[in-house]
Amino acid sequence: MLNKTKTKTKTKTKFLVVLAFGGVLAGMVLYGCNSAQNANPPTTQSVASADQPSFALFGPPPKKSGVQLWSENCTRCHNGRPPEEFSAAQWEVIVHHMRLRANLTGPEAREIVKFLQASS
Amino acid sequence: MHRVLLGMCVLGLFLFSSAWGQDNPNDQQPVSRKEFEELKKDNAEMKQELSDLKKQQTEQASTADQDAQDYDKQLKAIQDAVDKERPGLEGLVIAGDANFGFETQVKSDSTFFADVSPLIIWQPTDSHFLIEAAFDLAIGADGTTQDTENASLGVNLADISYDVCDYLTIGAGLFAVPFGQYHNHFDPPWVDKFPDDPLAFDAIAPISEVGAFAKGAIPSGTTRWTYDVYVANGPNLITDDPNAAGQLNFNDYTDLNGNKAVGGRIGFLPFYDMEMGYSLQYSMPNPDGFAHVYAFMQAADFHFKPIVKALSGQFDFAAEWIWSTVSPVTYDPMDALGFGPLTFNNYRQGGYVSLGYRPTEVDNKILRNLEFLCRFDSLQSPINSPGGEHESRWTFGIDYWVTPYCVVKSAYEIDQRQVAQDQNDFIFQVGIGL
Repeated sequence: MLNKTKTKTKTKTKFLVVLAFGGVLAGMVLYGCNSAQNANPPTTQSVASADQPSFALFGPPPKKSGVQLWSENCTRCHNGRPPEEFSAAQWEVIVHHMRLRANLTGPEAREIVKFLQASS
Repeated sequence: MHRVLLGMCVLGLFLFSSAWGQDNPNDQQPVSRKEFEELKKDNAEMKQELSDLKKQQTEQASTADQDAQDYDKQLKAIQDAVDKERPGLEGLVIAGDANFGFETQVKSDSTFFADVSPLIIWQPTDSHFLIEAAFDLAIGADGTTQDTENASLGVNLADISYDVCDYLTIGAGLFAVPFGQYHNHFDPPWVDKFPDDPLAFDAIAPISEVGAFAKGAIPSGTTRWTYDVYVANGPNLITDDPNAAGQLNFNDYTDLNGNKAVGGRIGFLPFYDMEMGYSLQYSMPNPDGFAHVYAFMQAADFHFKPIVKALSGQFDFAAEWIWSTVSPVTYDPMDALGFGPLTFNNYRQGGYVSLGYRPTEVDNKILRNLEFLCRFDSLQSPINSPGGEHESRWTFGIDYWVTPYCVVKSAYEIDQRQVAQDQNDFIFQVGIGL
């Protein structure tokens, strides 16, 4: 009886996992297709310029402004903190800390710092 | 006499006509076309002059505003420069988070809880270096004992890192383990949308470890790859606790046998709002004198946070799963501890799938700050092992974002356990980023 319940729970869990990742993959494909058709997905977060490709696996990274990088990278995990909340010197340290947390590159971190310092 | 009367009449008519003429200006001589055009031209010129004067006045005011703004900026830059050079405060920031709340669980006493986690970040003069230290001061109920409360003081971070180049950072110390995304990205109470950790990330995932690490990111086209590798003391295998033998202890940072754990994570961001990753860790967690045991842990994670205009809001979908295998071994082989000999297949797994929706695009401010949440999480450990259980939960929650870094959370958890009694739970929490 216990084994039967155990097997049932295992099957249910596996089904949920497969369902979740299946949904995720399907979502990725659909989102990718949609993004390919629409160079600028209608998001309030995105401030991408019109001449940037929506998806390219290889090649040099597109040039992005500080505000765009801030919008894309910081708000992926948490709400954006208002730039005026910290001083220019503090933002430099905080973004350095977040470079480690979010695996940002050096140029990305510097652009974000510039934007936050100009807006603080 | 007639002449006098006639003269008076003529004089009267003359005076009357003069008076009439003064009362009726229309009777003046008509203005010629030329005069009219000149007057019209004069009027237009005056209007133009007035307009020019107004414009000039506006421009002067605008220039004055601009100058004032420039002065403010210059003043702020000077203040920042002074702050930066102030002895002892150069590149030092104290941040962190705090939370407090209330929890009531079936078959347990309800309780308030609180937790403050100061984070000290220091960037020395050489801006390639960064030093981090994070503490955790908590007080709350311990549901596993009869104690009414306990308090704890822990260190979560104590590391120093160095940026070798734009795409590589190395470091050492007590660092956040890049195993999955949860503890690295979503753990702080003002970031985490649920008031508690998923079961698996509370039991079979490392949070912090002592060792050395290298990490960075490599952009490729519009996508980005991230990588993390590390070597650390690793977890410790619990061998002598009859209630927990076979479990890995991630909270003891000492190395029991000289073997080190190695691990890492590879992440891929096909779009800016989507991240997926695979993590692993291999370790030899047995204490000296105990049979050799290996532990191999893997995790897959996915996070997607799109704004869907058609539904006037933002979705937050996250899924992570952990698989943990510890090689089979006999615990308490001579029954010296009173629970052996005990051998079992030490395979554990668990994870969560969560979905959040926040109507960020609606006009109503109160509605815009609400977030509706649902999570399924599960943890399965061998039933025949000490503390073995198959537990799963459904959590339904509503959050209200007071500010971007202050959230009020409420959640109800429906609990299902195979061995112990189910314990449904209601949790209220306020999380603040400092």
